Amino acid sequence: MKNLKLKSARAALDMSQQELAETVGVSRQTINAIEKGDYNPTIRLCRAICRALGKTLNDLFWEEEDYEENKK
Amino acid sequence: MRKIKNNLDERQELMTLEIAERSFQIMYFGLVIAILAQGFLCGENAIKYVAGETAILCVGGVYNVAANIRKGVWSRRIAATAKSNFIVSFVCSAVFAAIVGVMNYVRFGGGEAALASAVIFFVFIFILCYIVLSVLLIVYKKKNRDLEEESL
Repeated sequence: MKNLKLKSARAALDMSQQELAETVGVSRQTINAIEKGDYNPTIRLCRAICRALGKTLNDLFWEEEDYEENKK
Repeated sequence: MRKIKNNLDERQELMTLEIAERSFQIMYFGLVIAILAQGFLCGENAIKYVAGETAILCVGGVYNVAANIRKGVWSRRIAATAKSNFIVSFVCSAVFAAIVGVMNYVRFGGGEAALASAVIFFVFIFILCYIVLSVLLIVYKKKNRDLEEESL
Protein backbone atom coordinates (compact mmCIF):
# COMPACT_ATOMS: atom_id res chain seq x y z
CA MET A 1 0.00 0.00 0.00
CA LYS A 2 1.37 3.39 -1.03
CA ASN A 3 2.39 5.77 1.72
CA LEU A 4 0.72 8.93 0.41
CA LYS A 5 0.98 10.64 3.81
CA LEU A 6 4.75 10.52 3.62
CA LYS A 7 4.76 11.75 0.05
CA SER A 8 2.46 14.69 0.83
CA ALA A 9 4.38 15.62 4.01
CA ARG A 10 7.59 15.69 2.01
CA ALA A 11 5.97 17.70 -0.79
CA ALA A 12 4.56 20.18 1.76
CA LEU A 13 8.13 20.97 2.81
CA ASP A 14 9.14 21.21 -0.86
CA MET A 15 11.65 18.48 -0.24
CA SER A 16 12.79 16.04 -2.91
CA GLN A 17 13.21 12.32 -2.28
CA GLN A 18 16.96 12.86 -2.63
CA GLU A 19 17.00 15.59 0.03
CA LEU A 20 14.97 13.51 2.47
CA ALA A 21 17.19 10.51 1.78
CA GLU A 22 20.34 12.53 2.54
CA THR A 23 18.80 13.94 5.72
CA VAL A 24 17.95 10.52 7.14
CA GLY A 25 21.03 8.76 5.72
CA VAL A 26 19.54 6.30 3.25
CA SER A 27 19.43 6.02 -0.55
CA ARG A 28 16.80 7.80 -2.68
CA GLN A 29 15.56 4.38 -3.87
CA THR A 30 14.76 3.47 -0.26
CA ILE A 31 12.60 6.58 0.21
CA ASN A 32 10.94 5.80 -3.13
CA ALA A 33 10.33 2.17 -2.05
CA ILE A 34 8.75 3.35 1.24
CA GLU A 35 6.46 5.80 -0.58
CA LYS A 36 5.45 3.12 -3.07
CA GLY A 37 4.79 0.65 -0.24
CA ASP A 38 7.44 -1.76 -1.52
CA TYR A 39 9.51 -1.61 1.66
CA ASN A 40 8.56 -1.54 5.35
CA PRO A 41 11.18 0.55 7.15
CA THR A 42 12.45 -0.24 10.63
CA ILE A 43 11.10 1.82 13.51
CA ARG A 44 14.50 3.56 13.69
CA LEU A 45 14.19 4.82 10.09
CA CYS A 46 10.50 5.72 10.59
CA ARG A 47 11.53 7.93 13.53
CA ALA A 48 14.33 9.54 11.52
CA ILE A 49 11.89 10.33 8.69
CA CYS A 50 9.34 11.74 11.15
CA ARG A 51 12.01 13.96 12.72
CA ALA A 52 13.14 15.20 9.30
CA LEU A 53 9.58 16.06 8.26
CA GLY A 54 8.42 17.37 11.65
CA LYS A 55 5.69 14.76 11.94
CA THR A 56 4.79 11.98 14.36
CA LEU A 57 4.76 8.24 13.70
CA ASN A 58 0.97 8.38 13.80
CA ASP A 59 0.92 11.11 11.16
CA LEU A 60 3.00 9.17 8.65
CA PHE A 61 2.90 5.48 9.44
CA TRP A 62 -0.36 4.67 11.18
CA GLU A 63 -2.82 2.79 8.95
CA GLU A 64 -6.44 3.96 8.95
CA GLU A 65 -9.01 1.62 10.50
CA ASP A 66 -10.80 0.98 7.19
CA TYR A 67 -7.51 -0.26 5.72
CA GLU A 68 -7.07 -2.71 8.59
CA GLU A 69 -10.63 -3.94 8.10
CA ASN A 70 -10.19 -4.31 4.34
CA LYS A 71 -7.19 -6.55 4.99
CA LYS A 72 -9.28 -9.06 7.01
CA MET B 1 41.32 0.01 14.12
CA ARG B 2 38.95 2.34 12.28
CA LYS B 3 35.84 0.72 10.92
CA ILE B 4 35.24 1.16 7.19
CA LYS B 5 32.04 3.09 6.56
CA ASN B 6 29.04 1.01 5.48
CA ASN B 7 27.62 2.42 2.25
CA LEU B 8 24.41 0.41 2.42
CA ASP B 9 21.19 1.48 4.09
CA GLU B 10 18.83 -0.93 5.87
CA ARG B 11 16.80 -1.84 2.74
CA GLN B 12 19.97 -2.52 0.77
CA GLU B 13 21.37 -4.57 3.68
CA LEU B 14 18.21 -6.67 3.65
CA MET B 15 18.43 -7.14 -0.12
CA THR B 16 22.10 -8.10 0.17
CA LEU B 17 21.21 -10.72 2.79
CA GLU B 18 18.52 -12.17 0.52
CA ILE B 19 20.97 -12.28 -2.39
CA ALA B 20 23.61 -13.88 -0.17
CA GLU B 21 21.13 -16.55 0.95
CA ARG B 22 20.19 -17.36 -2.63
CA SER B 23 23.87 -17.42 -3.64
CA PHE B 24 24.59 -19.84 -0.79
CA GLN B 25 21.79 -22.13 -1.94
CA ILE B 26 22.98 -22.04 -5.56
CA MET B 27 26.55 -22.85 -4.51
CA TYR B 28 25.48 -25.51 -2.01
CA PHE B 29 23.20 -27.44 -4.34
CA GLY B 30 25.58 -26.77 -7.24
CA LEU B 31 28.29 -28.52 -5.22
CA VAL B 32 25.99 -31.48 -4.55
CA ILE B 33 25.25 -31.80 -8.28
CA ALA B 34 28.97 -31.41 -9.16
CA ILE B 35 29.96 -34.11 -6.65
CA LEU B 36 27.29 -36.51 -7.96
CA ALA B 37 28.25 -35.82 -11.58
CA GLN B 38 31.95 -36.36 -10.89
CA GLY B 39 31.16 -39.48 -8.88
CA PHE B 40 29.23 -40.75 -11.85
CA LEU B 41 31.86 -39.85 -14.45
CA CYS B 42 35.04 -40.79 -12.57
CA GLY B 43 33.93 -44.23 -11.43
CA GLU B 44 36.08 -45.93 -8.81
CA ASN B 45 38.54 -43.04 -8.54
CA ALA B 46 35.75 -40.58 -7.78
CA ILE B 47 36.67 -40.12 -4.11
CA LYS B 48 40.07 -38.68 -5.15
CA TYR B 49 38.43 -36.07 -7.35
CA VAL B 50 35.54 -35.05 -5.12
CA ALA B 51 37.32 -35.01 -1.75
CA GLY B 52 37.83 -31.21 -1.80
CA GLU B 53 34.26 -30.41 -2.82
CA THR B 54 32.88 -32.88 -0.28
CA ALA B 55 34.96 -31.35 2.52
CA ILE B 56 33.74 -27.83 1.62
CA LEU B 57 30.15 -29.07 1.46
CA CYS B 58 30.47 -30.72 4.88
CA VAL B 59 32.09 -27.67 6.50
CA GLY B 60 29.45 -25.33 5.00
CA GLY B 61 26.61 -27.62 6.00
CA VAL B 62 27.83 -28.16 9.55
CA TYR B 63 28.40 -24.43 10.04
CA ASN B 64 24.96 -23.60 8.68
CA VAL B 65 23.19 -26.09 10.95
CA ALA B 66 25.29 -25.25 14.02
CA ALA B 67 24.88 -21.47 13.60
CA ASN B 68 21.11 -21.78 13.15
CA ILE B 69 20.66 -24.03 16.18
CA ARG B 70 22.88 -21.77 18.28
CA LYS B 71 20.49 -18.91 17.52
CA GLY B 72 17.45 -21.10 18.28
CA VAL B 73 16.33 -21.42 14.66
CA TRP B 74 15.20 -24.75 13.19
CA SER B 75 13.68 -24.32 9.74
CA ARG B 76 11.53 -21.86 7.83
CA ARG B 77 9.02 -24.43 6.62
CA ILE B 78 9.67 -27.73 8.39
CA ALA B 79 8.28 -28.17 11.90
CA ALA B 80 10.66 -29.22 14.69
CA THR B 81 8.99 -32.58 15.38
CA ALA B 82 9.98 -36.24 15.27
CA LYS B 83 7.36 -36.83 12.56
CA SER B 84 8.91 -34.15 10.30
CA ASN B 85 12.35 -35.67 10.92
CA PHE B 86 11.00 -39.06 9.86
CA ILE B 87 9.51 -37.65 6.64
CA VAL B 88 12.63 -35.60 5.79
CA SER B 89 14.89 -38.62 6.42
CA PHE B 90 12.66 -40.84 4.32
CA VAL B 91 12.46 -38.43 1.36
CA CYS B 92 16.21 -37.58 1.37
CA SER B 93 17.22 -41.23 1.69
CA ALA B 94 14.81 -42.26 -1.08
CA VAL B 95 16.16 -39.57 -3.45
CA PHE B 96 19.81 -40.44 -2.83
CA ALA B 97 19.14 -44.20 -2.88
CA ALA B 98 17.46 -43.77 -6.27
CA ILE B 99 20.49 -41.83 -7.56
CA VAL B 100 22.87 -44.49 -6.23
CA GLY B 101 20.74 -47.26 -7.73
CA VAL B 102 20.69 -45.61 -11.17
CA MET B 103 24.43 -44.89 -11.04
CA ASN B 104 25.22 -48.49 -10.12
CA TYR B 105 22.89 -49.81 -12.79
CA VAL B 106 24.50 -47.66 -15.49
CA ARG B 107 28.04 -48.41 -14.31
CA PHE B 108 27.82 -52.13 -13.53
CA GLY B 109 24.53 -53.29 -15.07
CA GLY B 110 22.47 -55.96 -13.35
CA GLY B 111 19.07 -54.68 -12.27
CA GLU B 112 18.74 -56.75 -9.11
CA ALA B 113 22.21 -55.90 -7.80
CA ALA B 114 21.60 -52.21 -8.44
CA LEU B 115 18.25 -52.42 -6.67
CA ALA B 116 19.81 -54.25 -3.73
CA SER B 117 22.56 -51.63 -3.43
CA ALA B 118 19.92 -48.88 -3.51
CA VAL B 119 17.87 -50.58 -0.79
CA ILE B 120 20.93 -51.09 1.46
CA PHE B 121 21.98 -47.48 0.87
CA PHE B 122 18.44 -46.31 1.63
CA VAL B 123 18.25 -48.17 4.95
CA PHE B 124 21.71 -47.04 6.04
CA ILE B 125 21.20 -43.38 5.08
CA PHE B 126 17.67 -43.30 6.51
CA ILE B 127 18.83 -44.55 9.91
CA LEU B 128 21.84 -42.22 9.93
CA CYS B 129 19.80 -39.22 8.81
CA TYR B 130 17.05 -39.88 11.37
CA ILE B 131 19.53 -40.29 14.23
CA VAL B 132 21.39 -37.08 13.30
CA LEU B 133 18.14 -35.10 12.97
CA SER B 134 16.85 -36.50 16.28
CA VAL B 135 20.04 -35.46 18.10
CA LEU B 136 19.86 -32.01 16.47
CA LEU B 137 16.22 -31.70 17.53
CA ILE B 138 17.13 -32.44 21.16
CA VAL B 139 19.97 -29.87 21.04
CA TYR B 140 17.68 -27.33 19.36
CA LYS B 141 14.96 -27.75 22.00
CA LYS B 142 17.47 -27.40 24.81
CA LYS B 143 19.00 -24.30 23.18
CA ASN B 144 15.57 -22.82 22.66
CA ARG B 145 14.71 -23.39 26.34
CA ASP B 146 17.97 -21.69 27.37
CA LEU B 147 17.31 -18.69 25.11
CA GLU B 148 13.75 -18.49 26.44
CA GLU B 149 15.03 -18.41 30.04
CA GLU B 150 17.69 -15.80 29.16
CA SER B 151 15.07 -13.49 27.68
CA LEU B 152 12.84 -13.57 30.79
